[in-house]
Amino acid sequence: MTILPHRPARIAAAGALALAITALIALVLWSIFSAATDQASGAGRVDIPHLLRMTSIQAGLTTVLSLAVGMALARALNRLRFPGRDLVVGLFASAIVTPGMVVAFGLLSIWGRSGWINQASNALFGVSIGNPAFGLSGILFAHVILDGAFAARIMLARLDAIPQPRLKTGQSLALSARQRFSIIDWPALRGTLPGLGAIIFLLAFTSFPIVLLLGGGPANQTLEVAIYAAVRRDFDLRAAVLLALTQIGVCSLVILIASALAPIPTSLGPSTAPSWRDGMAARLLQAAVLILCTIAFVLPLASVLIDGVLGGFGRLLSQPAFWWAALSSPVIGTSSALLTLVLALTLAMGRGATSNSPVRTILGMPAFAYLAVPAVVLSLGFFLLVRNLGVAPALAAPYVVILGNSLLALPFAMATLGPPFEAIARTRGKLIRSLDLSGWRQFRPSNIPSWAKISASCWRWPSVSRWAIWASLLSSARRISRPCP
Amino acid sequence: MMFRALGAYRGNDAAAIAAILLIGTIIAFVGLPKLFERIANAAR
Repeated sequence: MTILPHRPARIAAAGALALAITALIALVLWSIFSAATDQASGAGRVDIPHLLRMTSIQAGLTTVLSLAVGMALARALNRLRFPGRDLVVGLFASAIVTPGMVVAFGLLSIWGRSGWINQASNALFGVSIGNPAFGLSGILFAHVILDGAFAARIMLARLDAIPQPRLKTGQSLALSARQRFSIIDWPALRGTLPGLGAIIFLLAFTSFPIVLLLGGGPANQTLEVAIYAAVRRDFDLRAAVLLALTQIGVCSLVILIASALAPIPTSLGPSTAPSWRDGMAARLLQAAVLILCTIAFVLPLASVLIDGVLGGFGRLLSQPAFWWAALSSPVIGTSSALLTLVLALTLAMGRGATSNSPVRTILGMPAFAYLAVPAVVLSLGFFLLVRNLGVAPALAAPYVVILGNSLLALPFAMATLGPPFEAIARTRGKLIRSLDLSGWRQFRPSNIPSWAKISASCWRWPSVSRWAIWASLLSSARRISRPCP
Repeated sequence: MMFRALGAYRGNDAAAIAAILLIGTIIAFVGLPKLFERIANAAR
């Protein structure tokens, strides 16, 4: 039987926090529903079946393409060894935090009407290729760049984790590249595909900045962008509520299905050099895939940097608004990260202190706040709530942004911080009780090395709300598991 | 600010903001984990 440290204060603090977050979300939703009820008409212009169909088609195509690209890229990275490989792997891993808006802007710089490709085509052949960066093609391209790189990083970890004896057996049987894939690689990869596919589908389904920039009009809107348009352009709260409910329904369904699927192992350790090399033709193909994918990923980012430098920072630096944004962004980011850390630590320590299943479920529920309410709806609800309270929106805005960011990042922080705390409580609970350590004394020596290391990422999460979806999905299936150091 | 710049057809400003955003993201992605690992190692 597991003996946990006796920590009623931790459970009470986590319980109070979970209650406060639930009450806040309920208040936000109530503000929207009451405002929508007060509106006499609306929702007439919103074609929900069309939006649902287009969003599903876009997300489905993104999922299939990202998995295919990710698999090819992971195989190439697993097989090939070259100088700077670690840098390339790190580059693809950075897709996790690359803002979608930056990638979309980079694509416009290259494939846009006055982009590099069009300029070169006009100069060389006098022909324009149009504007492929806009519309469904642009959205898919941007999503595949980010999600394909993410999928490749996960799949590479799976390929790197294939046991050496299995590889040696395959090598001694002189398997061809195709046989190696079907007998050795595919069994290692296929377990990750359903869960990974569900995550990518959710990311694409709820995509906001990429679709906003590259959508090219209502034809390619996602539900999230449609909610934004309904609120921002028409202030049609009824439509926003209907769209939000549709999005919540679909996302919940995908999450429920994904929760029943096999978990995604997260062994992201360094890979060892392969002793079994494929034939020359296979290696050439892998090199071609790697070069193409690297160009596709790096070019938009390089174009952003080059355009930024060539465009000149002078005009921008002379604007007071820029300096205000440059100051407020790190302040808001750091404050959000600190708040995320405090909330996640409180909830994770509370969960780690109890083995009662219903209590653990209740303490884990705030992590799903983002799933219950899409980001746009959350912001709208906060705006209405602040307005109803008679507070000037400009005055409340920084606090609301910090709180909203923290709620969005909370699932990821919980999923990362929770398992180490639970492992500490489980493995050292008896020792802690026998030594009669206080809560703080338990926290300091045994917990600080573990959480200080992993909490670094908190500073990145608040600006990467898309990861909240991923993380909440992961946490729902207990997919992140880190050993207690 | 980048959305506003794009909406106002100030492409150069948007490009500069995107570049700064990208540089900041890379610094955060590479630098912060190293900083915290150092803190964690010092705490051991």
